[in-house]
Amino acid sequence: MEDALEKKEKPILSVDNLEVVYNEVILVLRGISMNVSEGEIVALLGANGAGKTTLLRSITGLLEIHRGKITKGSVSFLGEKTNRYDPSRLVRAGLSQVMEGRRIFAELTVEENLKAGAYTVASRQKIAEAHDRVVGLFPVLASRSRSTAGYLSGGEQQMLAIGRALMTSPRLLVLDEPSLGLAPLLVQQIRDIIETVNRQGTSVLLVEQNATMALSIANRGYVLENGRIVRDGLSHELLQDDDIKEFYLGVGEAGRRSFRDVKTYRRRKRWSA
Amino acid sequence: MEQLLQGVFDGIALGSRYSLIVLGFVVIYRATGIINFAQGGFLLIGAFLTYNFSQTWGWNFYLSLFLSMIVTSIIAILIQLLLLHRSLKEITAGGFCLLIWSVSFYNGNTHLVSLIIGLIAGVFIYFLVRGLEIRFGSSQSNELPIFGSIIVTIGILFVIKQVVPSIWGFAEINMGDPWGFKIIKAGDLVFTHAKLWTIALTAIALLGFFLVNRYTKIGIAMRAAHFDHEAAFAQGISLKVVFATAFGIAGAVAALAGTVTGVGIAQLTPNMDLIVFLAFPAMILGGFDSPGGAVIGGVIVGIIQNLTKVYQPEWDLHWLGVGFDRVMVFIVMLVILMIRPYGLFGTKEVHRV
Repeated sequence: MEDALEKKEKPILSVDNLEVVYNEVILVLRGISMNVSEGEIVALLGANGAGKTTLLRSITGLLEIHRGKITKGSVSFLGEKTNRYDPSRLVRAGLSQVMEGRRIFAELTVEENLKAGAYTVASRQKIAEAHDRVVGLFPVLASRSRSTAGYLSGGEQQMLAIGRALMTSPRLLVLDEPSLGLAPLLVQQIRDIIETVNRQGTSVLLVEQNATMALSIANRGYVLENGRIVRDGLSHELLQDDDIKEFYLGVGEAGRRSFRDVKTYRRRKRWSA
Repeated sequence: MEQLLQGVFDGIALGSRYSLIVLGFVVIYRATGIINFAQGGFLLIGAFLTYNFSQTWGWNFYLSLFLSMIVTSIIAILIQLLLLHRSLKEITAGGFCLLIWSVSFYNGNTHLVSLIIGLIAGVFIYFLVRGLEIRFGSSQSNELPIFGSIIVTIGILFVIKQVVPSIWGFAEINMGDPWGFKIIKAGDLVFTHAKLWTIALTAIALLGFFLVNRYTKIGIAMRAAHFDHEAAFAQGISLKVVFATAFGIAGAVAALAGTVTGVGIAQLTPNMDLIVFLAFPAMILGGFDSPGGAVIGGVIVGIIQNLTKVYQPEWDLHWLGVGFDRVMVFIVMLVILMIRPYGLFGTKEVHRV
C-alpha cells in the first residue's frame, strides 16, 4: 500500500499535521495529514461533524470568516504554503471549490453566475474558452443561460455550481457533498461529470457522505473521524474493508437479521476517541 | 389639471434628489450591510466641492460637477478603507489620532505638527488597546460588528459636518449654477431649467449605475456578493473591492445629489445634509436592498410631498400645520409598511425556524 501511495508524482495539495481551532476554544482538527497528487481523484469520507468541511475551509481559505484558526501544521498548494491565503489568491493560483449546498447566486441569471465564477480571470479569451468547456460539459446550462438561477432544478443548480467553479480552469477542484439532496439518477450524472472533468486534467478532492459514489470514482480515499484521519488507502482497498463497509457503506456484519438488532445497533468500535 | 401636472413635475424634480440619496444608501447597504449615516456628509462635500471648483476657481459648471463626483467618491473610498471594517483597536486609534490632531490645531500648532502629534497618540492608543485585548482576552472576531461600523459612520458624519464649515463657512451661499431662473413654458405649465436639468442629470447617473450594475464584471460581483457573501468570497471575488466600489458609487451619487440640492439662490448651507432624513422614508418605501426600489421610492416620496404642499392650502387644511408635506411622507410610509413590511421592492426575509 505504501508504494501505491507514493507512486504518483509530487502532490499539488498537501496538508501537513493540521490542527484547527474555532473561536479559540473548539478543537476540530487534531493533526491531519493528507495530499492530492496531480490528476488524481481523492475522496474524503466521514460522518457528520467529523471535520470534513473544516478541513475544506482550511484548504480553501474560508476558515477565517468562520472564526477558525490554524494553530499547528500547514496547508500547501502547488508547493506554496497557503495557511494565510484568502480565497481570491487561491482561486488565482488554480484552486476552485464547489461549496456544500450548491450556493449558487439564485438572483442572478445562469450566465451571470458563470461570469461571477470567472471574476478572477482577466483575459476575455480565457473566459470564452472556459465557458465553451463548461457548456460542453453541461449543455443544459447553455439552453437556460438567460433564466434566473434560482428557478433551475436541484440537479441543474448543482451543475451550475460545478460549472461556475470550472470557469477559472482550476488545477484542483474541491467539491463538498455534490450529491447532497439529489436523486440517484442525478448522482450518477454528477459522478460521470466529475470523472470527465478529471480526465480533462483537473485533480479533484471530493468530500462525500455518499461513500459508495465517492469511492467508485476516486483513486484513493481518506476516512475522517473526530478530527483525525483514521484510515486511508486505495479506493478498492477501502471498499473491501470490513469496518468501512459497516460504517459507511451500510453493508456487512453478517448475522444481523431482525429489526430489533438494527434498532439496538451500536458501532462495535470507534477508531479514535 | 394643470396644477396637478405641475405638482407632479415639481415632485419628480424633488424626488430625483431623494432617489440619488437613497441609491447611495442602498448600494452601501447591499454591499456591506452598513447603513451609512455619513451619506449626508458625502452630500455636503460634493456640493461644496462643486461650488469651490465652479465659483472660487471659475471652472465650467458641468466640469466642476463631474470632478466633484470623482473627488467625493475617492474621499468616500478612503473613508471606507481607513475607518470601516476595521478592528476595535484600529478604530479607537484612528479616533484618538483625529481628536488629538484637532485639539492640538486649535491650540495654535500648525496642521503638520498637530498631525504628527495625533499620529503618535494614535499609535500609542493602538498598542494600549492591543495590550488590553491580550491581557483580558479579545473579542474573538477581529472585526468590529456591523452595528459598530454603523455608529462609526455617525461619527464620520459629525467630523465632516465640522470640517466643511471650517473650510467654506456657515453662511448660505450661491452655488452659481448656469440655470438661474430660466424657464420653458408649455401652456400653463412652467418648467424651470434647474428642475429639468436635475431630472436629466439624475436620469443619466441612474442609467449609468444600472448599466454598470447589470453588465460589468464589478456589477455582477456586487450583486453576487449581496446575495451570498461567502459564496462570492469563495469564488475569488474580492469583498474589499466590492466594498470600496460601493462607497465610490455612493460618493459619486451623493455629490450629484448635493449639487442639485444646493442650486439656486442662497441654498448651499452646511445644514443641507438634513435632506437625508427626508429621504429615509423613500428608502424604506422602496425596500432597503433594491436599487430600482430606491429610485421609484424617491420619486414617489417627492411627488407625495410636493402634491401635499400644493393641495394643502387649496383644500383649506391649514390646521394641519406648516410643513405638513414632510409629515405626509411619513404617513404614507407607515401605510405602505403595514401592507408590505419589507418595502415595495425589497426582499422579503424568510427565516427558517
